[in-house]
Amino acid sequence: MTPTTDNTLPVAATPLLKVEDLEMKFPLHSALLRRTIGWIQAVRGVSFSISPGESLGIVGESGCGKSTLAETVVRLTTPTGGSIVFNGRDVTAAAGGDLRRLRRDVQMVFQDPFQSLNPRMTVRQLIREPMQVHRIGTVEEQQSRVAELCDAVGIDRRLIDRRPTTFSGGQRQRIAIARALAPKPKLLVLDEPVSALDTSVQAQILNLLNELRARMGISYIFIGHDLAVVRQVCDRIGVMYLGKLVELGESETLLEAPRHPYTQTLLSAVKALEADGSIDLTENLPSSGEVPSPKNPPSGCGFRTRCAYATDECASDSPELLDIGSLQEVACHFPLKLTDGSSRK
Amino acid sequence: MLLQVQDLSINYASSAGRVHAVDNLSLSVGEGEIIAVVGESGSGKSSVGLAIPGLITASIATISGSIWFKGEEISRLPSHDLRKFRGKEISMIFQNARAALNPVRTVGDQLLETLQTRDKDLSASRARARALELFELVGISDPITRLGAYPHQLSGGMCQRVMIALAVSLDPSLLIADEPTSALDVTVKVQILQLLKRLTAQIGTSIIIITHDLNVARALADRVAVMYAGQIVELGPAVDVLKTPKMPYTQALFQSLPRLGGERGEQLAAIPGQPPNLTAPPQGCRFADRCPHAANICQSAPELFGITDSRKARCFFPHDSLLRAQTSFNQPEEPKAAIS
Repeated sequence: MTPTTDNTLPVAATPLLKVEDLEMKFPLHSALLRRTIGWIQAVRGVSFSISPGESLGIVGESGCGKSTLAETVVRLTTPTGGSIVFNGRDVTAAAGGDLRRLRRDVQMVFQDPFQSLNPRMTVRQLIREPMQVHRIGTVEEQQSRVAELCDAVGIDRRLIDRRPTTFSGGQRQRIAIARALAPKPKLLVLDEPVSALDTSVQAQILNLLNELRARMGISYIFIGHDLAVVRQVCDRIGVMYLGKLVELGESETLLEAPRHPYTQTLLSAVKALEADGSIDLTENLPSSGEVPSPKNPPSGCGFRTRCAYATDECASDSPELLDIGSLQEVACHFPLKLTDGSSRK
Repeated sequence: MLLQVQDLSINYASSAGRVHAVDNLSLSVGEGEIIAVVGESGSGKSSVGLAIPGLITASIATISGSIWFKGEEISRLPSHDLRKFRGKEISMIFQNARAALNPVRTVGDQLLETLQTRDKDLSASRARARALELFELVGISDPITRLGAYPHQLSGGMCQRVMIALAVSLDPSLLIADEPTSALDVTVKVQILQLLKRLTAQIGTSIIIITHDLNVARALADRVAVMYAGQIVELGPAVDVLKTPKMPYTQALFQSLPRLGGERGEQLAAIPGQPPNLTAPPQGCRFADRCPHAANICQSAPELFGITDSRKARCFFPHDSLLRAQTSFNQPEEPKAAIS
């Protein structure tokens, strides 16, 4: 397994994870008879792949389905459609031993380390538990790996027998990362891992994640809502809107020359806030309004209700995620011209 | 001066001892001014916001110092007399708007109740007209339908607009907004900030915005107060403080912020260590433990020194620290780096 550097192209021939047309919908029940009266379409046909050592970011606003996507990829839920192939094995409906093996190879880090760590367990127990569950190594080997992992994530070994309540949020997230790394996974799914942390601590964790990937060569799926944060860690970024990937591409290209109007909207909002000095908040954004409900997504393109460039075609035909060259894929009938994108830099 | 907070200290009782959440804080807000109180969790910024309208009671905390509003010392008023200030003069909006609204009553009901409680003579039809006007003011489309909506039927951004409508319904002179955009998505966040900025211009309300987000402070505020471990560590015009911060903490906070404009993959300048434990705050500068420029003198407590007429910083080395900060923070091998 070799870690990809920034310049290495994702090799589609041997992906670590290949997700195709993934779909996840949840039934809505009527209050009285619990009859199914509709569906929340959280993930609506998402396809992507990740190479060994690669880091893919998934960004989107609340309710876009990014967390459901993460949970489905690690098979905390079983998808209602599509396929997940991990390391050459189809794990879409894996159960029993197959599922256990998958969980050893794919680990997850959650947003809130105040809730994701059992307060009754010590740091030593927390980090060792995944190795016990997966029967990895002898007791001595497990103990020495716990100590190694503490060093790797920057937790003082002397504090190893304390419980998580005595640690700050940033330190707890380090413990959660050590625990996820314990069974030597090939893929780490990080669901908003720094969103609950303060800015200064967030920077520590982002640096740690970059360092760990460089050292261990594992792959990341990094779910986030903050483009600047996701870019810091990810080689490629996928932008989700209403359960679909609307744009997928190499981080720098995507952020410098977004081709989907939604990506452009997100970027201009971030840039409006990032601008130096006092900014003109009265300047109109390319799109206004709010995200439609996933219970009842609009026909055709999901973004058309907020898109400044929408036409009749956007209401009738749902755009597919298509390769538009330079390793960028976009799901739009009228992708922005490169000049539009680059002029926004 | 509309509001003057003088030497405010707040201590909470806890099982671990008294937590000195706010220490001798002084702050003033002018008419029509937007001031941002910026800090990380535990810096005391929310306690300041709650203390101003008297929402921290003596049963949970010891409060000292004085708060003057339009020339009257409201910190000495009994709770009953404070009621005439709350809502009418000083109102507040919170981070999680949906949680702050009553879930079993329509948002219209809640707005009408607020209007009619404070003005007993207001007829139902005039109250309704005023409610529609307020919904339009805060940019709620289709206000007639939305008046009949329950909070759970509205999006987070829409709930925040309702909260803002409630907060400005009685034309307060001061609006305290505690992390009003932190629970919102970035596109909605910009819309709400635009709304707040427009409101100050339109109705002349002063705003204290409490936030952890430097970008929000920069986008909205005229002046910024940066808090660390219960103290204001830097104070001044937003443009100056956020462009050329003088206090090492403010500088470090900026450098730890990932920016789209920055170099990708470069090591972020994280601040090593943790904020001090406020049950036993350090005697000297509270940032000294984490500060790259700390010297012996920092073992004694710095005051909030004036740097220029409008700027202050709680630091013994505020002038040259910027230069030194740039060199030391940019070195990849920082001796104090948290990750080894």
